[in-house]
Amino acid sequence: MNWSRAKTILIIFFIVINMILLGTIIHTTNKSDAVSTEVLDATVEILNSNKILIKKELIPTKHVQIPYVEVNNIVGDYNEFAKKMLMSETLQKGEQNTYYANEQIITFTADNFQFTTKTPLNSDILLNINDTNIEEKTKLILKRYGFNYKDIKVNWLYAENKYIITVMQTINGSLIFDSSLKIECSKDGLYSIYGTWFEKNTKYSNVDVKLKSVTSILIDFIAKKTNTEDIIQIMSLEQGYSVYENETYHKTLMLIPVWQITLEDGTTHMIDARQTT
Amino acid sequence: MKKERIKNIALLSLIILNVLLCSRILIDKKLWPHGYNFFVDRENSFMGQVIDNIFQGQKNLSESKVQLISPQRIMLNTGYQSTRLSLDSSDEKYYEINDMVQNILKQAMSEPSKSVTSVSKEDWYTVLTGKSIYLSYTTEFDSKLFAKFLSSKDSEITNMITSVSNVVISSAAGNTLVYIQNGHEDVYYKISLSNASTEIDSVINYFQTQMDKKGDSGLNIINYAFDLSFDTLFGGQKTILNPMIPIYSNPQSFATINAENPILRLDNTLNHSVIDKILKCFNINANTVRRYTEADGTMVFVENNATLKMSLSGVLEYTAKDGANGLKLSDSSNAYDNITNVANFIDNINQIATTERKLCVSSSLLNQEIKPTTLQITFDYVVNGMPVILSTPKTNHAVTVIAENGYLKKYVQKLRSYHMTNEYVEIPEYINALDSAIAAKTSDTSEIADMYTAYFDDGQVGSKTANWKVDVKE
Repeated sequence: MNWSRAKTILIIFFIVINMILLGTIIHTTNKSDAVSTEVLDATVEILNSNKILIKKELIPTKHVQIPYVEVNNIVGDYNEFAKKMLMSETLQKGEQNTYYANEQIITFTADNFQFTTKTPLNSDILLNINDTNIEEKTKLILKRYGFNYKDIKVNWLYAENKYIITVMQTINGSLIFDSSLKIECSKDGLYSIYGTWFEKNTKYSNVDVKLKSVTSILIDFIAKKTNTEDIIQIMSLEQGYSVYENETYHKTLMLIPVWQITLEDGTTHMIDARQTT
Repeated sequence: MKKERIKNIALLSLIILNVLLCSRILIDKKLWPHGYNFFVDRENSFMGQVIDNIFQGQKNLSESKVQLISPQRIMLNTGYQSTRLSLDSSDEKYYEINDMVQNILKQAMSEPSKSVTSVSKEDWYTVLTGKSIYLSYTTEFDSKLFAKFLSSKDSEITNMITSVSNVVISSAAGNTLVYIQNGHEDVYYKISLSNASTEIDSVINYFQTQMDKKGDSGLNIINYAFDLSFDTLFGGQKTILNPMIPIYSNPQSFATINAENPILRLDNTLNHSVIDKILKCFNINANTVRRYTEADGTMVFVENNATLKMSLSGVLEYTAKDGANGLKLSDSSNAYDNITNVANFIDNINQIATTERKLCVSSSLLNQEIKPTTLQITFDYVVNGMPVILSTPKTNHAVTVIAENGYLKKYVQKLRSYHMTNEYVEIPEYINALDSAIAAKTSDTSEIADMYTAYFDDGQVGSKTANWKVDVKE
């Protein structure tokens, strides 16, 4: 037998087969990640029939898989965290998880902490704060107090001679919607920091979980609509994470992948993105 | 030659690439056509079913070690003065004798009601002083349930004898006789079995011979409370004992045991892989359940219908939410199925968590047949043949189960593993322990409902010793 010729035929055969397989994989991957036009149109129609308006362009056409993530509460221990924020080894303890030192006070409620100071602090950092360098100054403040300052999103407003900065975290590029810090400051210094903060647990690896498509999320949203007669308009759809419950303290927790739907009146609704079956 | 070599390498590379691409398509669910599942298809095929049955069969071979019907203690009454031999599940011969008595009891509970006669307390005492076998249980049974556990045939006998707490088996005039105390009252019944059994006498004779050979007869002087009239008040005596309490005249010593939390690792963190397997037992998906850790390190898993908690001290707690059904344990509405399913469920968890597998029922099983849909039952660990008395802030039993209509409402278990040591500790003498228990009570008269040896576990890790457990009737 002419093995050389047989090998040539086999090589050509396998090249063709492998190209077909590769093409199938690429095509199917793109198809499963994509939301078809027909499904989009049908979803918008169903929403409209339930008096929910949404522009088709707002609905993402590509399915993005985000993993399940475990995070640690930055407040691992009330006493230790208070020492860090008040920058003092000796603290006075008041009622209801309140700590005092150096004319500063910190109070804890479940996952939340509220730090306030009578005299403004960190004036060295905030001396020349203005509308253009807020994000940079925010990062410096966070760094000083030991928070993760790298993966953040900063929004702010100026009222009563103070900046009120809202800092939200991102994990794997997605926001944690119901966890944030609010920093009140001015050129004179820092007045308060309050909110909740979590950091990714590096010992626990991300778990891939099957998520619902965005069209399924929108259908689920219909059930959340309390008044069937009102017409409501969806202004934005965003995928991210949720802590889900802030009424109790969590030392560590798994963040839930969710979609946040923002309505015209500014209200937001979070829909669990996990497939339960 | 060089050209051939290149061809060989190219062909080999293409074959490997082909295998990788094919396996990617088989494994990656996203790439399957809608409704197709390669693994479910293989599983449901004929060969898949055959292989599955083989492994399923092997899984069933490991029998549950939760003792539902085995007596806590088997007392062999030799009939010779007060020489008796007490056996528990730590003794080699216990299981052989237990099998024998279970067969006899199975037959007894299947007998027609004409085989049953009422007997007096004196007859009961007489048979205990002769050659007989006394079975002491950890709990009181509903007689119908007792019969079901023994796999007895349905019989009217369970309408006459409504509950079972103590049993004595003897033989006389070629008949096997089973005496049952109805509850804890002075009501006794005798069931005559149609088939004669010579096993009872031969077993007792065998042990008597063994004891004589070793010269142990003197060491096995055990009286019942009624033998010494401790069950009646006379003279200045202010305390009476349950007549069936055995009184040991010789000092006893028992090995200490080491208690451990089987799911705590050396670095004082919980073993996550074991917890994930436990979650599976409760039908909780470890990947999608909402989980968080409380300040004290307790892991909490929240599902739609229930919450499961696992503390660092090894307390597993499952609670169905109000209005929700919880985990389905049984399709049946009868008490026997419910209790058996609970026992199997507990044993499954014990195997996964490498917890102590031997448990005994510690709550009453009366009235279960009347209210079969509501089940409230507790179990205690059994180590070295003795129950372990737990005393912790969260629970005083190894396992506590509440179920309704076949659904689990609450499950609390203190996960423990116990290891015997070579260290032996002598427990206080019987009479001293009794005096201490009586002195602790302030009432003028006391009734000791039960007195037995047990291990005492305060919930902390470490060495535990045995001692007397005295139950005083309130």
